[in-house]
Amino acid sequence: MIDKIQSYAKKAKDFEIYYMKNYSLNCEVFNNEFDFVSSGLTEGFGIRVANGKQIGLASTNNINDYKKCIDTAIKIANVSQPDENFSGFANPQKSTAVESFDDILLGLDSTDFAKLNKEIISEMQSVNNKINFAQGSISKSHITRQIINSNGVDVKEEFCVNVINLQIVLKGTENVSIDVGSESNKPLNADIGKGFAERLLNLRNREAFKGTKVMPVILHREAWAQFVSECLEPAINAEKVLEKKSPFNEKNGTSIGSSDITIIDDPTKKMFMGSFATDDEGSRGLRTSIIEKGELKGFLHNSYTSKLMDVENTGNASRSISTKPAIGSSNLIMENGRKIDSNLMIRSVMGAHTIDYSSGDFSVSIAEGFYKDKPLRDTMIAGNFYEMIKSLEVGSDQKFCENDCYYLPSVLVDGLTVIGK
Amino acid sequence: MQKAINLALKKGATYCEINRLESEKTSLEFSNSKLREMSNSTALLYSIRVLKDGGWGNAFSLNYDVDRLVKEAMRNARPSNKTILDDVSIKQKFKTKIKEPLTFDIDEKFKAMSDYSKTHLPKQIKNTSVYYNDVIRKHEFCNSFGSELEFQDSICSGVVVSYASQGDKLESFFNNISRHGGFEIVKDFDKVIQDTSKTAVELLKAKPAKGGSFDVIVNPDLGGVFAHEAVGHACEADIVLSGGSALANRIGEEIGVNDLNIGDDGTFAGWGYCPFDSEGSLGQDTTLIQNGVLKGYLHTRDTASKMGVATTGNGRAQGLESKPIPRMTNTYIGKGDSNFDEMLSEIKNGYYLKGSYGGQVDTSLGEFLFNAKEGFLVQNGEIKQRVKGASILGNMLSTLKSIKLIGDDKIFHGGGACGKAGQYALTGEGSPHMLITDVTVGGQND
Repeated sequence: MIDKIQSYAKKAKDFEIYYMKNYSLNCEVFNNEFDFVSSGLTEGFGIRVANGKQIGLASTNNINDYKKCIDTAIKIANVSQPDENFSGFANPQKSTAVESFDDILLGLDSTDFAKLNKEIISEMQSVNNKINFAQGSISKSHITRQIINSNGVDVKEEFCVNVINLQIVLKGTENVSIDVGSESNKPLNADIGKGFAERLLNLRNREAFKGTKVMPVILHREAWAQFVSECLEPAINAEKVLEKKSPFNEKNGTSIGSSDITIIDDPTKKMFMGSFATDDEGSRGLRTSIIEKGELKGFLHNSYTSKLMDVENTGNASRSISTKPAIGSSNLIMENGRKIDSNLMIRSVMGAHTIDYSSGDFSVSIAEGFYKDKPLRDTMIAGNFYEMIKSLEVGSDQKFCENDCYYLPSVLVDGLTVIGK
Repeated sequence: MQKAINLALKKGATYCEINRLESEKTSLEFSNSKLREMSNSTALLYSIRVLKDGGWGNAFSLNYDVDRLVKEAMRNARPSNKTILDDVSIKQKFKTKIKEPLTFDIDEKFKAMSDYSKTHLPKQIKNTSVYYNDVIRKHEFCNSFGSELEFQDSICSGVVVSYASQGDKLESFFNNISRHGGFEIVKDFDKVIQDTSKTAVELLKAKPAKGGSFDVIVNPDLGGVFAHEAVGHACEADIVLSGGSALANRIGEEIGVNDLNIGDDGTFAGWGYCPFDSEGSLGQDTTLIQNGVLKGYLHTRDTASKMGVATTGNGRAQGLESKPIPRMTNTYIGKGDSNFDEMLSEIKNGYYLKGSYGGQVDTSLGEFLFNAKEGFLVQNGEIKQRVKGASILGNMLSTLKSIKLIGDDKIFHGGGACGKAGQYALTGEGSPHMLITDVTVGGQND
């Protein structure tokens, strides 16, 4: 089918096809049992057509209707406003294949997931027999992505991920529940159940922090990952920098954080979750230095922004079939630091998605946190992300984070406002 | 579609439903009035969901290959103890009311939105991004009870984000005008862009809110989010049944002040408009809290049968691939008899908070958080300077009893996309102004 699409697309002089096929299997769990199993294949493509500097984009998941989709893209290009900054689609580049998932995942079916479900529950209940897998899902997604353009780009890659999301509940005098999960490019191992159970039990007898105080706080790598995702990622996005939406605009080459902070983006790491040979325009992925000892070294780019800023394309184009290429990180990796300590440790926050990356102001509540080893409730933290990274101390427990392609240690923040009762 | 149902029943299903969902989306994106994206997207999907040997199985595909879909759905149904109560057959068609249909050419839409984007803005505005989207959808549903339902929907959305900068400071503000309807929804969008930009500039001078306990007035937009986060999620019956809700086993208990009334209405043409849910149950106006007393939960067919009640038509799935789960539709707080001036006069040192960037809830603890888009310091009954970065943290079992005054003003139905169990649902929210005492406000202290 892709051959037919490519052949018809040639009626446009300049084109780029982004094709995606996704087989997904999703097994929903309710009160420890499988409750709903769903599977299917979706297949679609998006096509960008350029008529000089006029671009049209059309997409469809109805692959049989490819001619209508391509004709729509051409029609849109003919009426679109020219983009004076557009200078063509990506050019072919030599790339190196990278192993990004374990093939065993491809053969897993709902029977395997039912077995995994039982084993995880058994692991959790071996810690405390009142713990239930209240609701959640175990799923698998196998994606085939192919990018073809009129400059000669023709790359194809496969990705596969196994995901578990669960709300676990401890029933008793005090109802305690927690949302946990894991994403993996290998089959999930049931021993994650023990860790989930321990986290849940640690939340018994929570108390509110007393008063309001400015104090040092450890952000566990999972909480730190929430801030990196909401603030740092958009700030290092070259598109946002060019459009003056990033606080790092005009800050390249300057100190923006403490000298403890060194962060790279690297899609070439074998068996890391975010690895790829080529990005979503077919450009090769590059190891990119973002922050080095607190100094901002560069941004994440696609072909469009790298040409505008006259720098090497970092290969971070990211898109779906219905959108133009945006920019996203691959594997964000932060270097280890040293041992850090504080009376207040926060494992995750609630409301991270409300953080405003442009100003960096945040005020969120503590979902999992401990003050002098006692679990907290009804407590908030507030601050400013760009201020807090100026005096950040970096810990030495670098590890994969649960649901993102981040490899981070925990960090110590000096001077966050902690608001309790 | 009847052929697929007959085949599934013949092969041993005790229940079957078929869905067809077709949609077309137009998107425009402008940055500083220059076009950044102009696109069209079409989608078509079929699904078959069966109950067989007490287990639910679902299969979906672009191609309506009945034999293959039925076979895959039946294979996915693992033996279990699920049941479904018999129901009547419903044959009804629904259509969103539209003044200006969206079926005109993309270049005409581009011209209109482009003109709006060129509006004059303050010099501190470094970027204004405008996002236009419209979706025309048709959802067809039928099931083995004999129901045949159809919903022809039209959604139009205009979002603007303005970035203001002065020296080293960068602030942003956004507005979202999104409703079920036609192009009339984005009429006069240039005024929305101007108001958004004005607020972004004002935020440059705003100081962070101080953290601590305060009396707070929430505006209707924020009050609606309060209803959604503080009550709505904990009333979703799957969370109640799984042991994850602080409102479990509290039906009939007084959990809020006497003049607090909260409902969820799928028939209202707000952002969460849901004339029938993903299980083919008609939407309805469900009372959750009446005069401060908890009255009911939000159900799917499955949770309803477990609790021995009728479904409330809240079984929504994000797409045909997903499991229908209890979701809110348009959650609202009913009018009271107070007014804004009366509320202001009650505050010695507190805040007036407006609009929301969203929120989150821990339903087992009853703890909820939501973030205000705008805030103003209130002292001795007067609105003083603008503040920024204020969030509210509350606990449903105490905060609902801390509502001192409920306004008699018009209920505003805003909304957004609510995330739960990996699925998104369009949900609307509404409320009058409310005065809530002794609220934990998150803010930065020196």
